[in-house]
Amino acid sequence: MNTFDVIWKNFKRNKRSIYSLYIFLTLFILSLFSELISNNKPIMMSVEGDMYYPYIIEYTERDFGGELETTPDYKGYFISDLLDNSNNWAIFPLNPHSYNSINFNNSTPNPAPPSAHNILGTDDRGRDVLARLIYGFRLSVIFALALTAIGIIIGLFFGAIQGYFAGRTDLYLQRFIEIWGSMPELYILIIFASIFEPSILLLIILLSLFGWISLSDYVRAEFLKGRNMDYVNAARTLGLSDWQIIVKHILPNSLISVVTFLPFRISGAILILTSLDFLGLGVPPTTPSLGELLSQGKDNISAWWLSLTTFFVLVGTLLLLIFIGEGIRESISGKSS
Amino acid sequence: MSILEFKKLNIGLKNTNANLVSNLSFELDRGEALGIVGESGSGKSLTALSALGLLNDNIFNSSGEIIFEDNNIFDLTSNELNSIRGNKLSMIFQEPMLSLNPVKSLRSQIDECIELSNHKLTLNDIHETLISVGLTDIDKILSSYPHMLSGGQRQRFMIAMSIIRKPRVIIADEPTTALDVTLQKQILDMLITLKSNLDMSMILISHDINLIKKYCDRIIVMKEGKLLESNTTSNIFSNPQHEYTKELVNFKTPTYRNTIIDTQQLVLETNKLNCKYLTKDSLFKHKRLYYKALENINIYIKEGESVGIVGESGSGKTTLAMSIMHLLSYEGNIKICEDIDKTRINHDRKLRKNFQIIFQDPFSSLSPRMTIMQILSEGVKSLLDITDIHIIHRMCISILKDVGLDEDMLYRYPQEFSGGQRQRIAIARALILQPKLLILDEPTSALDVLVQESIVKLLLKKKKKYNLSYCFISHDLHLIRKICHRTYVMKDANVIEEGPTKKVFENPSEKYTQELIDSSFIT
Repeated sequence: MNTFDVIWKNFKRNKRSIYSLYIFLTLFILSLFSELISNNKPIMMSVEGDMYYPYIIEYTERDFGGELETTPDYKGYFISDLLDNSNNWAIFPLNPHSYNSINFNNSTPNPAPPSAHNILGTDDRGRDVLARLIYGFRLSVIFALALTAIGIIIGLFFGAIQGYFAGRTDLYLQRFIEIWGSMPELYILIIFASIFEPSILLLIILLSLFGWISLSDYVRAEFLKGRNMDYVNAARTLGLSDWQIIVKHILPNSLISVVTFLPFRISGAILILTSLDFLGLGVPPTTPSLGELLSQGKDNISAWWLSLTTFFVLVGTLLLLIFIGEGIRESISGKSS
Repeated sequence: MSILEFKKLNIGLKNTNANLVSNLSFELDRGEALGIVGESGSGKSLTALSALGLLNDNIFNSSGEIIFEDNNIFDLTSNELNSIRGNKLSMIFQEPMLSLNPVKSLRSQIDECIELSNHKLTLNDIHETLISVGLTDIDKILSSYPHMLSGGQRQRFMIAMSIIRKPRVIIADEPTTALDVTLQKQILDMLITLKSNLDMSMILISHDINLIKKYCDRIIVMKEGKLLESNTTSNIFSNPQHEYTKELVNFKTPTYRNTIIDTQQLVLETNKLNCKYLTKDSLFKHKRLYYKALENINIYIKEGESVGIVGESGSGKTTLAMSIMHLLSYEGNIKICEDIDKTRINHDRKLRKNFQIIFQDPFSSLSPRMTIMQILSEGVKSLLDITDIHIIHRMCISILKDVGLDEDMLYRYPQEFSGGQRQRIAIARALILQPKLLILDEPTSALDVLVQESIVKLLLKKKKKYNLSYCFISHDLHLIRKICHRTYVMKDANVIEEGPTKKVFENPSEKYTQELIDSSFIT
């Protein structure tokens, strides 16, 4: 049996980890369809016998017999009046709010406490908290996955080159990494945030510039060990090129260290994004983000629904990832027993 | 009078119910040296560990009785066991590096023994014991750490630790397997002298029946956890009862390969081969220090010839193999098949199909993440330029059959196989390329005796079939004697003697060669 099969078998034996993995995957996959779950546009509607699909097609108010050449506010008076007619109907998503749609119909001032309209209340601009949490969760996880993937690719690349060629190559690259790693990451982020328009892409690029270093150290150590194994020598006598040896022989045997780090790197990346957003150095203000919600919670201490709900989503996500990581680590170390 | 008695000892694994030792009964007489011989997995070491009550109860299930001084070991409390361990019953382990704590000085480790002792021991006793195991410069040794000593010194120190409290019985579990042949003999000689000086009884556990024959009065043969035969040494050798014992006793009969190779075709020729490692780097060239691993080596191998290279570890044997394989850089010339040299190989990797190597440890020479099919086909694709999957598949099946394995192994992973099977796979990987020269770097030393034998038979058969030339690197002189036409003896990076195997073995011109032969227990 392949080693990865064994690890998977051991992993499945750890109930807490396997359930964490299932829950996390379910939540993540669901959140990929956030637009269907939480949106202020109806999925389909019927007005005077005609079918409309506002979720897919952009309509103007004029299409519904109105005056304006703009997208109608589907929660506004104009559409609600139309829907009051018994022949007309509309199917709204489960949570009829988008992450940036403002609820103008609220009777209480913003931030408004949970009500029938907004299950988890609204933030200080009248946007639905539940919608922002769902979209924020998705953005955090996708951001973390991208950052981790880029970090792993760069880390593997440098670690492999350093460890495999060793000697001078290793020496020079190690010095380069030391200089690179001693750059003040946070200051660079602050400087760049003030020069460029803040965006998620910029954040990923800036954070990837430094995120690979810790991983490349481990990969380097694995390759330094692997390059002296007999099967690597055997591969060399079989006429394989350096590249083939790295990819086919040493890499599969070094992947364990990468796999062990995976969930912890993902949870770390989520935390970084949240804290940067909290400080106002992260994504632009309209983007749904957990950190921005937390900072709103700090500004509006009495609006408990802001900080508390975000806190639970964040802690839940991190906890699930850590349980998964723990399971992976245990199933790898318990391989021999 | 027996001092230690095993009665119907059974040891099994708790979670699988597998029986590792079954119904084992034997006794050790006072002052006797008893040898236990068997291949790995035969339950030798488990038996030894159980005598000291060292088996983990959570993993092992043991029943039966072990009687020592009228007490059953299994009935003793852990305090009572502790007062016996080391004081009356002592053990010497196989790997001296692993048995000594690397972060404690040797003085504090031996002090520990003294603190636990039943009777007062003084510094003088330590000195005496350390001198009696053949150590010199005691003060320096006591203040050093395990990694600062050589393997031999470490094992001597371990022995000193186990005998300092003058135990009645000493159990030596493969005490010299990790050491060089010449050291082996010295240490065992010393151990036997100590045994008679201190009036101890000894159980010597080994896989090497020739070694046991020399040192033990009585021999027990074990296989798969069962006692097959128990008799005095002379009886075992003159009149073995069990089939397995017969195999063990008979398989090393001295025969030489006398056939003379009368071809002038050379498959390997080295000319002033030098190899050195940097030990101390410096910016200035003249300050750099090098360790010379090979010095002016000139050897040749004729077509169809088997050449042995013997020497103890550190003599440069493996460096020589690696240089011939062009796996490390060297100075001087190596010519393979008369016209392949360094520059041509660097230019065209495909020339590597002419020379292949079998490594010592079959557990690390096969990549654990590849199936046997992938392992075998790798060289075919890169060196023979064959890409048709069907042809490769057919080649793999026929080569597997050739080395005595089944074709249904193709899609399995190396860790599913035993050491002998893995070594066969490694041989198949080399043979599938039909090389002219095959270098074997201690190909059997990681294997059990009888498996060794079958691998050697396989190699001899293939040599004829493929008209191979072998370069056999080994410290096992039995093996060299059996296979090789000519032998080179290496010491300290130099070839000190060469000649036809028979002449080197029976009439060596160097003193060192004689020593090497003496310590290999060739009779």
